[in-house]
Amino acid sequence: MALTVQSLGFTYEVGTSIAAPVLEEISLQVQAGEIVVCVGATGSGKSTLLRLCAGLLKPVGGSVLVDGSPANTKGSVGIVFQNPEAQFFAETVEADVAFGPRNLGIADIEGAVDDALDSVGLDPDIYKPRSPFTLSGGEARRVAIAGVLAMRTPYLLLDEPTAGLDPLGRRAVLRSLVGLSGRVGILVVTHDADEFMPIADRVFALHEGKALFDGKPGAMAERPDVWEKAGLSLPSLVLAQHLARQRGALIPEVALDVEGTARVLSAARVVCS
Amino acid sequence: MIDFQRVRYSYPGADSQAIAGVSLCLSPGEIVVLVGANGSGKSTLARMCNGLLIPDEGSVTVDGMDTSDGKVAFDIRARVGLVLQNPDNQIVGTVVEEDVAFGPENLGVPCAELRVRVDEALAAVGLSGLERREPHLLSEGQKQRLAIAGALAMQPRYMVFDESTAMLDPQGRRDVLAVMRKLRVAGHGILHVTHHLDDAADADRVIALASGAIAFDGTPEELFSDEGLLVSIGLELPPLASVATALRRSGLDVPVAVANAQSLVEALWP
Repeated sequence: MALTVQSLGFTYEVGTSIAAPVLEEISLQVQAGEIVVCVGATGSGKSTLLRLCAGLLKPVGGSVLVDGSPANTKGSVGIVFQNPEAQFFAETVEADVAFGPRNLGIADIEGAVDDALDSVGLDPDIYKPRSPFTLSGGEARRVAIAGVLAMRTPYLLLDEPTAGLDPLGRRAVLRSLVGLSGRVGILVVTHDADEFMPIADRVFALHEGKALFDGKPGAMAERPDVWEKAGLSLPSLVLAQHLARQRGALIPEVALDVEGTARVLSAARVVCS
Repeated sequence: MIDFQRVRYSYPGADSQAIAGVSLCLSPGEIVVLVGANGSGKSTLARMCNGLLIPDEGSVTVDGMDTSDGKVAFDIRARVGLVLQNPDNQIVGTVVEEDVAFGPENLGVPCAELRVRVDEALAAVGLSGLERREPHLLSEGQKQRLAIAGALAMQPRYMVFDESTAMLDPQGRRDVLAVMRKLRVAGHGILHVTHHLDDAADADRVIALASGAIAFDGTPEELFSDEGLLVSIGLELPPLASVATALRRSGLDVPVAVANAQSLVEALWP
């Protein structure tokens, strides 16, 4: 069971003078229940990749298969666009989240709505009657994600899900994604690697439409060359540990989060002195 | 100077005040970073700088002109440029130069001067050479810089950036921050609304808003060293500053406000 991208290629405006390949020979797998984080600079093809995975664009070469079927099969993949809360239209959170499952003809709509809100850490009893237009940024983003989850899609694609949120909102969204992993296969595209590295099962780096790296976040953290080539700055914590190494600090393995980095740096410092 | 005097504002029908008694000022030649959690009133405050929103109580004046005085609304808007979070919301032209020309053209600026203004604005944001490009073919960072150029072509004295770096990748963000620093040198007053605390590192002053009121007004170093305050207003230290705090707690000698990884490591391994 997986979302499988095989030798995928895509070109916008095929056959015109401005045609240029946006993605070339991309192969990538999101196993059921894992979190894959795709990083790349703006213009690297991340959002195009997401749209292809959702079946919103047709590949120019290669294929996207979801559990063996073409990507555009109804209801197999849910996509959360940038700023999804801009798409709210109903009077209540309940009606907004119910819109997707109702259109798909899902039988237990109420159950789908409750489960979806629960999954993103919002109490259905409190939030269902509220207007989606009076929510905080973090709440609104999570309701928008719930609207996609309610369609009970086994795979979830998210485009910059924390952009524009304050720290509390970002943490709430990250917690929701961690809570969903194991049940839903998640592909996140982002340029905020700092935040997502600690929760990723795998990291996939794109550069000018080509795959640069595919592996564990810890392995990516050991490869400053990949970050540089991708046009991305190393996450600040990872950079600090590499700089410490250059000054002779003994750091066996680069940590990805704040606690780990503090531990690694203080241990290395004690050994030095 | 943009001068807020005891400003209060509530949205129609809202129970609480979005801005609850704010006094502050922004002078030409300085970058003031305005931070605060979602819903703290940052964007409301940004929209009061050029009279898009008018205070219920108190006053906002721009170089002495009151934003509640309808007769000077155009003068105020020409003086205060506003750049929003999503550049797609403010790009109107079919090609880059046309978009930059849109504002001044509507003011009746003569053609020859229009050309100069457009070229200068595009040069200021590093987009020279892309005059004939269609905006939708630009990267997000380029689009945001185009939106800035559109505001600059109006020759404002002040620029207000409302979360204008939120959707950008690190390079795009650095580019836009570099444009802000350049504008500061050129004498513009900059108000930068953000919740990326690391954007605040090289501001002249940081103001933190909580529930529509000013919770802090001081230097970035002072703000970074007060973790309790940050948490109480729904913000958090950037990851590196958190590491520095943890290291300080374990007895290591690292500075309060670490600007970057380099300075943290140099403090540990001098």
